[in-house]
Amino acid sequence: MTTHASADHAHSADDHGHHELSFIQKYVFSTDHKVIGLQYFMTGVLMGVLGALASYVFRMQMAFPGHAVPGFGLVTPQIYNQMVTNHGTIMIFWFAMPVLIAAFGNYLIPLMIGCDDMVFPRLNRLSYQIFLFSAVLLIASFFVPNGGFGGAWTSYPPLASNPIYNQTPYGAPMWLAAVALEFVAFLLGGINFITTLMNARAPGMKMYDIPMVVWMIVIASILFMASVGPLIAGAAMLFFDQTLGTGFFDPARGGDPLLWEHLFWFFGHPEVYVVLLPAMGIVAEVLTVFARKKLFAYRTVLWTAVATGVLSFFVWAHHQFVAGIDPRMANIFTVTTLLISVPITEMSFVYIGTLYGASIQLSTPMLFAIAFIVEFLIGGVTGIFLGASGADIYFHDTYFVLAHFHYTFVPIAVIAVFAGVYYWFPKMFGRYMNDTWGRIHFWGTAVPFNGIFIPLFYTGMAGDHRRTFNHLNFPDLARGDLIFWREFSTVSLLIMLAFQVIFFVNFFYSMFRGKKAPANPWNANTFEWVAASPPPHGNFVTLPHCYRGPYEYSVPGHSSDFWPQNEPAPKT
Amino acid sequence: MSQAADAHHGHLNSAGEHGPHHPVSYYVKIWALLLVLLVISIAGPMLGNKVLTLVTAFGIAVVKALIVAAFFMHLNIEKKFVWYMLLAMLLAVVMFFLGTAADVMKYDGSHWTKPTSYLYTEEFKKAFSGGEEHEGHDADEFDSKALPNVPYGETESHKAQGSHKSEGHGLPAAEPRHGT
Amino acid sequence: MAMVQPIATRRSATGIPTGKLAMWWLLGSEITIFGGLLVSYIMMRIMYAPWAEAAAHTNTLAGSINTFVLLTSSLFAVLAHHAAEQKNGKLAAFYLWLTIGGALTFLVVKGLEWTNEIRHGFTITANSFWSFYYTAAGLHGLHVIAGATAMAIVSFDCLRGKNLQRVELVGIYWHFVDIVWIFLFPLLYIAK
Repeated sequence: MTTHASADHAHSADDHGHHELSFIQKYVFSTDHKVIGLQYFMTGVLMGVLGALASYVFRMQMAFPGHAVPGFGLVTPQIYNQMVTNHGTIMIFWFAMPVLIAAFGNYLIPLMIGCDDMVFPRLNRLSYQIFLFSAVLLIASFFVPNGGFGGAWTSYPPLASNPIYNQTPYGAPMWLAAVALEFVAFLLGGINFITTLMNARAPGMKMYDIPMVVWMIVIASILFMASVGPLIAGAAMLFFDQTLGTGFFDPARGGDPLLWEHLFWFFGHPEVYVVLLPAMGIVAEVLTVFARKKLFAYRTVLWTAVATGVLSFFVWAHHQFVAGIDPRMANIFTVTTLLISVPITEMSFVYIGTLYGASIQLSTPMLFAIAFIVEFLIGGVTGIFLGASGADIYFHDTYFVLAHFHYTFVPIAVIAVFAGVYYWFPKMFGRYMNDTWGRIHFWGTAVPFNGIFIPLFYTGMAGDHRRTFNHLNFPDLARGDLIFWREFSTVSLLIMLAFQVIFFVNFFYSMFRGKKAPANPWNANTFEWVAASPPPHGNFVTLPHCYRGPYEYSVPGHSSDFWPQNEPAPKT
Repeated sequence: MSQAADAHHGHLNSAGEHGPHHPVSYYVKIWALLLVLLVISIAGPMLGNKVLTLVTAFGIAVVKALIVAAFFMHLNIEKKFVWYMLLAMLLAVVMFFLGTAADVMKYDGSHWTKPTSYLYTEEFKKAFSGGEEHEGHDADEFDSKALPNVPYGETESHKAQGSHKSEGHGLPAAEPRHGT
Repeated sequence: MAMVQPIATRRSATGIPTGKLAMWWLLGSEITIFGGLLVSYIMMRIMYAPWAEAAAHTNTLAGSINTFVLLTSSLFAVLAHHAAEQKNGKLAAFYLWLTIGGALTFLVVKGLEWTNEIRHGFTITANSFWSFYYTAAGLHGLHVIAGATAMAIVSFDCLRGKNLQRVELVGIYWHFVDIVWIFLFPLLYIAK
């Protein structure tokens, strides 16, 4: 009964004592979770554009070495290193995490658990402000003498710890401080997410009634919290190495460079799952709505995600097989690494099982969701080779590895995010995005994406090493076919980037001029669709009560093919 | 917006809703117990027994930490899952130790050596100190000039950052230290 | 800007007040931060027996005094919580100020100790032991400062009888700072 009531009362709720806020109060210093979510989203996407432009610069250098890059100029080795390093850093820490966890988490968690805000609204704002500051600090590091840090996003010492080696006495500490601040922002945000889910759920919402994306974001926050601590300590140590000249990671002075690698990857591998799980959650929401079918094996998905999280703490040293780690440990980590593909495969099967026998609507979000599963599978399968320590000795640090992890990260941070954006856009702005242009954007993203990275598997196997400034300096790598595939990859990147313009035009045009959307345009079950589109401050006219699980689609005997969580069962 | 729906959620934010009700003397007693433990942990090492030192220093630290956690932080009356959560975090740290110790607690890997740590090994001391080895001999006191075949780079006494040289990385094996 | 308290802040589905629940998670994340640092230290400490000689220069007396100070301030923190439970804001504030006094004493002792050590040439770059010594104790010192600041803010609310539940929260945080020191003390001072 309350399902559609909220839409009618949207205006009265909006006018209810909040119109005196100025623009700055409303959009800059807001404590409203939706505004903070959008702030995270916009900042994250802006940083993502920067990261994408960095990839444009170094891919052009890869394909056409020695030629000035149009719009940028000649790429020097130092600039090349800076671009590669900051592309990786930005895409993971300032694009994937803020968009997948912070933006969707802030926007969706209170809405989906039927609540009016996060439990700590001001902590939430502080988290965003620290994040924004860290982003500004990172960008500022490009403009100090000697430029930004160029020692790869993993920042291994002694390259990272010694200004003599990395030649960026200011850029490197600034980069490190920015990363550490970003961690602090996400710790604060994570505490907020976890506490909100635990304490502020709608009455009646039990453990298995929570939408999967909320679960995934919270599990990811817990993983992040448990894994990032040692790296924060390690960042302090590396910072002292860089600025004060201590020797924590300097073997000549009693330190140990491998310690940093362990500190980094102990965080770095769970981090993969920190960004993967929210993407899996978004896909679960989109799949069930557009398949009009219950999520196949909800509990299996949930506990598989938990198992993945636990296992992710046992696999980190597979990044270090050639770093000189103890071979006995390499055995152990090979086994655990291969093991972790089991839960992820299981989740993929569950999603495919959800599609089986469903009445699928191939809308734009659904296309992206299906593409996520397909592309991510390629990333997962190629990971098997790299998880085996024997094969990894050959593959390590080649473009094969690069192609592998882009086949995981791009589906996560780009394709799943697009699925989420197209899906929740009507909720965020009260208007639809243009579906035709959405489909054009989809094909222009998914196809060139394969064009970029499938050739890189091949060049990697042929011997192209990562972080090489100019492959033509190596006679073995100056072969015609390799040159062709490098150019093919770069051209694919240009096509993919060009198609993103369509997305941005569609996004901003639809924000103001798109077709008006009702409160529940997709006939979905979860609580956020109960609120008006866009939800007013306070979200709900009447805070909803939860009566059932989130994926009750096409329930036999029910009058419509969806059954919102807040609708009481008819009295019999 | 008044929320009737929330009425059956407890409003537990006020202080001491389910808090403990102990007299002040209860906490003073626990504090006194902690002080006794502190004295033991300071006195233990004075006996000079290494095992005893470890037991008194770290065993008592664990006991003290548990007492503070249980009685001062009131974890003894907190929901059990808080214990589990904190222990899980601790377990993550232990996991980190288990995966890392095998590498960090080694003197050299397959591609590199830690020159300074190399100085600390017993083999090295035996090989280069002419057999006369007295306990507690500081490795820094070795005269690097007396050891021409071991270009071990800098010792800790070289503090300047600029003095890093490439030989800091790979110590040419003075003797094959990692077996086949 | 007058912020209306969202309903969310008043819900408690777990039965644990939200502030306290968040404090536990915060401490969980702190455990991994200190844990990572101390585990790194322990690995190298076990490996390098000669570090014992460096450690021999640490001032056990100063460490012991500081342990005593922190344990005592923990007592005051729990007494402040006790007073807050009985809705006695003024007494709670008084105990909080005693706790802050403990924090300040701790920092003064630490300052004297560090001054003395630095004057003897044991700086953060002297060797790896001293690097860890200053990093670990410094990180802990930052937590002491943060805790004292938080208690000062809470104590002013207490005087006006507001937000008394926060006394317990800063108390829990303070006990955690105490526990970290309980482990730092043997690691840096006693085990030689």
